[in-house]
Order: sequence, then structure tokens, then C-alpha cells
Amino acid sequence: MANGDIDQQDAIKQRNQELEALLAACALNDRKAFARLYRMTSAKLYGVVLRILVRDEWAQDCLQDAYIKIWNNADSYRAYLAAPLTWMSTIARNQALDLLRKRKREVMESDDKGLPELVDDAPLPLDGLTNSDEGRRLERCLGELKEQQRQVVVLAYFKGLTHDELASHTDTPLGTVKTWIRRGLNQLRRCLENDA
Amino acid sequence: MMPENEHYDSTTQAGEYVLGTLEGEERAEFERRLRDDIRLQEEVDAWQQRFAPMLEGIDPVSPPDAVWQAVETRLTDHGQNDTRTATGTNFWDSLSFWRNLGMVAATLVLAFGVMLMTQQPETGMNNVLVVMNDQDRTGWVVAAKPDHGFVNVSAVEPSQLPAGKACQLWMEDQHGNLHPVGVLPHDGRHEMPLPMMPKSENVFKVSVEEMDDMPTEKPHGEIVFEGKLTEI
Repeated sequence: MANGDIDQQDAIKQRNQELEALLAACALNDRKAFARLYRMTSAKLYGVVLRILVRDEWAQDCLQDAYIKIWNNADSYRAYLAAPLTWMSTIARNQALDLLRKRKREVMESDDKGLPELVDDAPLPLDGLTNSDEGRRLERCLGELKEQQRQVVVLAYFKGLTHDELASHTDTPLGTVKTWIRRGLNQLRRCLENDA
Repeated sequence: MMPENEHYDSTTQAGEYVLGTLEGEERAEFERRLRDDIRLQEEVDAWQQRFAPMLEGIDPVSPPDAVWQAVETRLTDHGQNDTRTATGTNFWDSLSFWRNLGMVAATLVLAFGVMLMTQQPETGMNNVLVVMNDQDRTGWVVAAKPDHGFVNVSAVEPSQLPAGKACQLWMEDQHGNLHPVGVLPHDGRHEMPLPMMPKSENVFKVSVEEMDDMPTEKPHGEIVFEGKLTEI
């Protein structure tokens, strides 16, 4: 392994340790620790929610909610289950998908004709997957899926599209989309388990 | 081997849930099951972890300063408890599994670790009592030091009590009589005077009391917790 890699690994390890300590301090209502946690992670989390929500205004509301949630739940973070940034990013994603579902419901209840701009054609960010061992494994296993299976899985993950929406987005019958997803998930899980 | 299209079990359904494709009644039904089914929570947990590297590749974008200001205002204006209820509208927020898998031991380690890290250097509070909440997780941490007439009580995850009820902390003397220390706070860290100098053999108890009729002589309500200080 090149020295640069080792330095980078060390830097990541150090950052994770600091983030873990900050989360633990947040659990005891340390607002200064929370401010530092925000400074260290907000650009990453904003990237995540912006990717999902596209609209700046929604993404900013969502980022607020995500950090309130992180603050309120800092005591349930378990370092042995996930790296701190993974945990926080997952919270941010879930918060964004919740908001998206809520907005879609509101649109359905009004006469508006949907939110077409929500599914943008930006490339889905799979390139950065190779940063970690888990990322490399996931990338390899996604690569083993059939093209359509991979497409619907990735689209659903980043856009929170339901089975119906995926069907109309890919112009495919609903039953077929459901089968793609189920097969995709099963195959992905087997691949990741065999690889672990 | 079972044909792939027939392989639709709760593992796959948990995957669909994490992916976000479960919708409407199916989604609501899944969340109802998830509430009590630890095995299902583990399935969801595993899927969250399998997919988590997808988020690694997303480029950071600096948010406007207004977001942080809004977060700070919300925490200050509404207090932690309001925001806790306000954000708790959706059952699944990716957090319950971390919560449920967290064993008491891990919580204790966290609490002790945090005490060491955040309190000892400044205050020398090197004796702690971890008060468990109604879910058997760390509810409060009581920090003391020998021959010091005050304790610091920090809320970690206080028990959710019915309106009008509060948890009262008591200290037992060597004759077995209880003396009130104070009400366990809902948030923050509070200093409370002790009725006597703490010793390692002192037992602390917690009772649930009516807020508008807090006893001063002895507990009226049920004793829900007792324990002694531990040196760290």
C-alpha cells in the first residue's frame, strides 16, 4: 500500500474518532460539540439531501430536520454498528425521503400534475464507491446485476421512487419492475454475503 | 433451488423498505410489524448498512449559514423536548435499530466514557451512578465526588412519563432513611445539593411522584430504581 493511502486511512480513522467523541458529547447536551459536529459534517449531509431532493429550499429544510434528529438521537449512536458519517448520512437520506413522500402526497391531494423535475438525469454517484472496502464490494456486486435491475435499484435508493413511479419512469409494466427489484435485492444480498 | 421470483420473504421486503419502494398500506403495515419485531429490525439494519456506501460517493456541498442558525434557534427556542416530539412523527427514521440493538452494557460504557471525557478534567466528578430509564437504557447520569456536597445530574434519555409526573431522586442514609435530592431533569445538566456528603455505600433511589405534590419526607410513589455510586 502506498504511503499516501496509509495517511488517508489514518486521517479517516482520526476523523471518525473525533466524530464519535462529538456524538457522545452531544448525548450529554454539549451544544459546542454539536456546533463542531455540524461544521465537520454539514457539507457532506447537504450533498446527500440535495442529491435526493434537488430543490435548494427543500434540501435546506431537510438538513435542519436531519441535524435536529441527530442531536436528539446522539445517545443511540453505536460505534460498533456504523461509522459516524454513515449513520448521519443514513439519517439525512431517510429524512429526505420522508420529506419527498410528504410533498408527493400533498401534490396528489391538490390538482397539480406531479413533480416532474424531481427525477433529474444527473449521473448517479456510483464512482465514489471505491473509497472503502464496503464501497468496493457493493460496486462489484451492483456490477453483477442486470442493467435494468441495477438501474431501478439505484434510482429507488437515491430518488425514493415507488414501484409505480419506477414503472412509469422506465416505461415498464409494474409487475416487471417489482420482479427486477426483488431479484436485484436477492442477488445483491447473496453477492455481498459471499464476499464478506 | 427455489426460483428467484418466488423468493419474497421478509428479508427482501426489508430491502424494499430501505430502498424506499414500499408504499401506502404496504409500507404502513411493514412499519407496524417493525415496531415489535426485533428480527425484522435487524433485517432493516442490515440493508441500511449494505446500501450505506452509496452515499459515500456524493460530493459535499456547503449549505448556507442560515441552516445552522435555524438549527440553533430551534434547539434554543423550543428546547430539546419539543423538538423530540416534533420530529418523532415518522416511526422509522433509521434510528430505532441502533436504539434497540444497543445493549445496556454498551450504554453504560458510553455513559462512563462520556463522563470521563467531558466531566472529570474540569470538575473531578469521579463517582457516577447510571440511572436506567423505563426502557432499561441510560436515563440519567449522576456524577459525584467524595466529600463534595453537590452532584451533577445529566439527562441522557429520560423516561417518558405521563403528564404531571416526575422522577424524584433520593439518597439513603446509614439508618435506611431517605432524603430528597431533587427532580431528575428532562434535559441538560443540573447541579443539585446533597442532603449529606456522599459515600460509596450510599444507596440512591428514584421514585415516580406527582409533580404538584412532591414529597419531602419519604417517597409517596413507587420506587423504580436504586443503585450506588461507582468510582471511575
